[in-house]
Amino acid sequence: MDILDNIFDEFVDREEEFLELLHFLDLHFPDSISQVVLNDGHVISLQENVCFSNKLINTIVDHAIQERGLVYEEIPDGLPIYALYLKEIEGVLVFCFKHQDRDATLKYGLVAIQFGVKMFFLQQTSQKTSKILEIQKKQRDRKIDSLEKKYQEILEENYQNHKIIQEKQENYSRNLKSEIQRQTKELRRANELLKEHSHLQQKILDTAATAIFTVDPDKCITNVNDEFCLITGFGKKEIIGKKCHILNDDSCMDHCLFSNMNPDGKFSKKRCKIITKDKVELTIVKNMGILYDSDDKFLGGVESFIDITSLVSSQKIAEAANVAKSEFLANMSHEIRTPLNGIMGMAELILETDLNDAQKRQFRIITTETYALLDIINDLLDFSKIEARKLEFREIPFNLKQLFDDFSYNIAFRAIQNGLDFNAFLPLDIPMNVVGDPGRIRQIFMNLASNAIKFTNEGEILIKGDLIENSEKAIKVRFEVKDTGVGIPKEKLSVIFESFAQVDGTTTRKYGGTGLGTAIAKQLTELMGGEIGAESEEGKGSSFWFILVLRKNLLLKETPEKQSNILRSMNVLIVDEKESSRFILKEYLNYWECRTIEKKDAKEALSALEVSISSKDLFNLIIIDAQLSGINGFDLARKIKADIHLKEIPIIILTHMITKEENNKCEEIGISGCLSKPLKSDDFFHSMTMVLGMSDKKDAKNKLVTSYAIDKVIRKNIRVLLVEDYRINQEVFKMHLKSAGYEVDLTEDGLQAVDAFKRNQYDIILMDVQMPVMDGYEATAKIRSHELALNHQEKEGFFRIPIIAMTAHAIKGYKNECLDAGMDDYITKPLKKEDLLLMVENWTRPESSHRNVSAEKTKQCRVNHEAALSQDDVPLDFEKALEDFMGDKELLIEALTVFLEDLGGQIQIMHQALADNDTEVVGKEAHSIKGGAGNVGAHTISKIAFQIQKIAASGELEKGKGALERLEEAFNALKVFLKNK
Amino acid sequence: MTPAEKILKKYNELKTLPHVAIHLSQLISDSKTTVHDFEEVIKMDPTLVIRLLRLVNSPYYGLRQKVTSISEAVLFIGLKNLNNLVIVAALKEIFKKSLNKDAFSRTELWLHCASVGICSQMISEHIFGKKGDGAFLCGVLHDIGMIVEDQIEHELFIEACQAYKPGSKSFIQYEKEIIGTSHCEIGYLLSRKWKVPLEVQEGIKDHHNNKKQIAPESIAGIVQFSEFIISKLNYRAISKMTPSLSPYLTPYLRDNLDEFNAILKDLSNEMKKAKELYEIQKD
Repeated sequence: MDILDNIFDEFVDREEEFLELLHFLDLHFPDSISQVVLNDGHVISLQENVCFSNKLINTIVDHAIQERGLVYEEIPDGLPIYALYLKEIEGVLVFCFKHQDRDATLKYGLVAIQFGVKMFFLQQTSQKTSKILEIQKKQRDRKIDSLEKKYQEILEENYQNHKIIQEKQENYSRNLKSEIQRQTKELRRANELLKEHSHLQQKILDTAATAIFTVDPDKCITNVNDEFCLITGFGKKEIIGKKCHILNDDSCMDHCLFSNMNPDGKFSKKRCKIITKDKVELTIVKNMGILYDSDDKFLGGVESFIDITSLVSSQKIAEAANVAKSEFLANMSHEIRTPLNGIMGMAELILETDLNDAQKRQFRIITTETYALLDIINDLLDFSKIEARKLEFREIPFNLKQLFDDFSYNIAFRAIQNGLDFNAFLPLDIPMNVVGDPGRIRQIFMNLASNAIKFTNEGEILIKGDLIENSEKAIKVRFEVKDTGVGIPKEKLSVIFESFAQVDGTTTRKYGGTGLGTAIAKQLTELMGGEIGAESEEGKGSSFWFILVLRKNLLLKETPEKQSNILRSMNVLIVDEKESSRFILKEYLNYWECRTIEKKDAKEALSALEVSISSKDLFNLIIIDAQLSGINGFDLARKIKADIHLKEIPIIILTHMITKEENNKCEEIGISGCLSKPLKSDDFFHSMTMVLGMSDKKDAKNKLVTSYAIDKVIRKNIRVLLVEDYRINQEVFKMHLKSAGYEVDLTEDGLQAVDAFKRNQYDIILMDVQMPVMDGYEATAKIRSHELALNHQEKEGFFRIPIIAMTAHAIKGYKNECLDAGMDDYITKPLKKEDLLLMVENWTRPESSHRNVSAEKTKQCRVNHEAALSQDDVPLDFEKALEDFMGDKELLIEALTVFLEDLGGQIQIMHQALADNDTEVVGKEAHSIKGGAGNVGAHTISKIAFQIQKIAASGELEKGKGALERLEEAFNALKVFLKNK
Repeated sequence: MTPAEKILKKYNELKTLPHVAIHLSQLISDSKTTVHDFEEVIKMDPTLVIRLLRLVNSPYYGLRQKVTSISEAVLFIGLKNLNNLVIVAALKEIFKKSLNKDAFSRTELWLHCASVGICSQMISEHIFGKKGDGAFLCGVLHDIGMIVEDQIEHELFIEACQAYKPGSKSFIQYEKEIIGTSHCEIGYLLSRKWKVPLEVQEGIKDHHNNKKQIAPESIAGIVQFSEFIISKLNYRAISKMTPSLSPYLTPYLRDNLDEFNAILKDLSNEMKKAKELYEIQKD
């Protein structure tokens, strides 16, 4: 590596080296003189004095450089000078020997010098090399030192590292340890909590009054509570681990969630049976749920149950007791009502005899108290029937207006007795002929109105009806009973319809009553599909309303009172203080197209009359309320009658109750008519026509026209056949009827009644149902068949006599049987006079809708009879049935189909029952067929079924076979008939 | 802001030194740093790990066992030393991009720097008996300023390289005239940023300084010695640049010529062992 040798040249001191060489030569060749001449001419010598001439030296040095070896020069004073080129120093060594001769020098000296120079350089090199080696050694040591330091440093570093890591690890393990301790502690606490919870859970389970157990997915019982052990008789240890089937009855399996996996995973209140350890069967009610863990894994189920075995048996006992209670209640009411009937009847009869005032008062009290008692009993009976869901509703045609008038009259009486003003209004354009249960509607009205009277001390009671909807087939009517009584606090309005609720306890004491009135009204309304409500302002009065939808009786054409327009354009003056009553009068009069002017008092009326005189537009009629403030009605009438221009104008006076005194006053003053409030529209109409001389019914024009007189006129010539075996009733009913102007014939049993019917012409028959010799049903049947035979002969005008059943039983069965037996209506004993008279009046009034209905019914009956007489006839009057179904042919056919399906089965049952001599089953099935056939218009079948029913009742089943064959024939005939349709 | 700072600011925006290297330098200055932390950071740059392991396993370090993980490497060569290696390994990436090979070549510069590094470590250890890690790092980094200049003020730097003629004016003076700063100054600032040891920073700053009393055993001194030697051996930063040594250092060299001669005798051997260090993957 040549390049490396010269790197530091610039820093090497060459002179030093040459001086060393000169010293070396001087030492080894003492007689020589030397000096070094460098290439650049620089001369280095040991002695200052030794000096060769410059010229000589230059010559010899140049020569030596040229020769690159040894040259010599003889100098003039004798000593030769030598020059030797040395490549090691890039210079020339010049020397001479002082004492040697030239030859000797040439022979030995030169060689020696050359050798010496070589020696010197060899020595130099060896010294240098050893020095380098030495330095290298030193450098190695230094490097080792530094590496050692580095090593130490790394060790230190690693140690530190190790220490840090160790520290970290220690920290970590310390943290780990404390964390483990903490978690262990937490875990322990959680375990304790869990233990507490499970302890608590077990405690809750064991305290629970229901048996609880859990099962695993294999239906093995995993836990049970104390109640479970108590009910089943199993100990915890013996039952846990067993399959739950150990308890199972088959019924339990039906409800098993496991076998019948329910998507909800639970069910409740399932009733089934289990078997205890002692093999006792228990009825239980159970809840069950499926258990899942948090991962929705199926864990099993939990079930809880209660033993209701004793509950079930006590429920049965309670139900039986309830039935017994109902029966007892019904019986008691019947038992109480029979003597009440006697008491009431006799009291009313006595009241019509000559009595002094004190006696009259006492008997009136008896009468009213008895009525009150009867009301209570009726309420209780109704209520118990509603509660027992035994209440039945009729669907019979009735006249809404009559119904309204009747109960208005009834309520008016009581209202007036209590010193209250009373008004009733039903718009004349309401369709009157409807189908429903008039008795129940009346009852609702009565209950609400009774309350109104009870809770009103002064003021007015208004009853009215409004037509809300009038569709083709039905009407919707809102009835309202409004009073000016004590009212009901707002917060009590909601409870007013609850059973036994009066506004507060004190009202019960103050006003008495059962508190059932409104509750019954609500129940009845709702059972009829209507709604009921009340509004009230405390202290100002209440308004109770109910809304009913009533089916129209489409068989009857509406015959409104507007049948004639004879009153048209009549100019009528109304003088009445009460706005409501003026309103009602005006409504009626306007309906009849009269002109009206209304005045509040006598003074106003008189001035209006004066105007009429001056304008020569006199009134045709003046209607005056008796109770006007200031000049009263009678005095006003008197003044009018005193006026020469007005005295001919007929006056009708309105009063609450026509007393004898008032009657006399009217006649004295010359008043033409006296009508009691509330006004019945037809009474009003009749009286108007009468006082205006338009009616032929008025005998003498100057005779006072009263409500009573009008009724009597109508009732005249009406002959009633009363069929009653109970002597007291005979007396009472006869007297009631006679006092109302009816002619009454009495018979004591059915046979007599049939005879009487054959002999005489009657307008109505009141028929007791249970009588000796011949009962009401049989008598009715005989009368009907006689009637039919009679009517066959008389072609013109068919009349079917109304037969009204009088029954002591309000409950079930009787009503239908009465109607089924051919009767037209029924009335429940004990009879109130007014009820009795209303019933008779209803069925005998010329314009009565019932009469028309009866005619329809009779026609129907005739068809039935004819059907019964000739088997060849069609099994069904399809057109008639279609009419009953309001033209819905599909519905009728469907009903017939269903009926026939049932009938087939029923006939088979009856065959079997006949073979088994089971009269009960035969009777039951026959009754059922009779009703069903009647509903679909299959009257032939109905008739035969009725015969069979009677046969069954008589117990002579041998007769039944033929009848059943006839029934089967009729059944087949109907099937064929239906197929053709 | 000095021109050097401006240039450096731009340079830093280029983020030339891997993030990992900077992060490691910070870690090293924290006495609580462990091998584990070190390894975690270094692992983020897998190529760096490979390069580092290659360096550690090169004959230059003469380890008897092959090191296969960073934590092993730390055990054998020490944390600080390894950090130096990380910087070196990271730097190689920067040096390999050569923009203009005529007047200035980054790869030539790398050979120069790597050689100066090796020589400096030898001088430090052999002559002064000191650990040579700092000297090695300083040797490798001493001309990093040129890379910055080449990167940021390429035109000016090349102009300076071309303008330079050996003579009375040094290269530093050319740089200052043309660029406004010198690679010594820039390198010093950069090294400060990298938080290399203080003495290394000084060495970078003063490796051309001949106006200041520099102790021969200081890193600046050592780097001047070795740059002189390496330049003599024709591994030069810029080919035209003649070797020179601060007048304050020449007496020491003259007095210890034998020592340096001994270094020369071993130098080529050492350089051969550092083959891994010299290798730069060409683009």
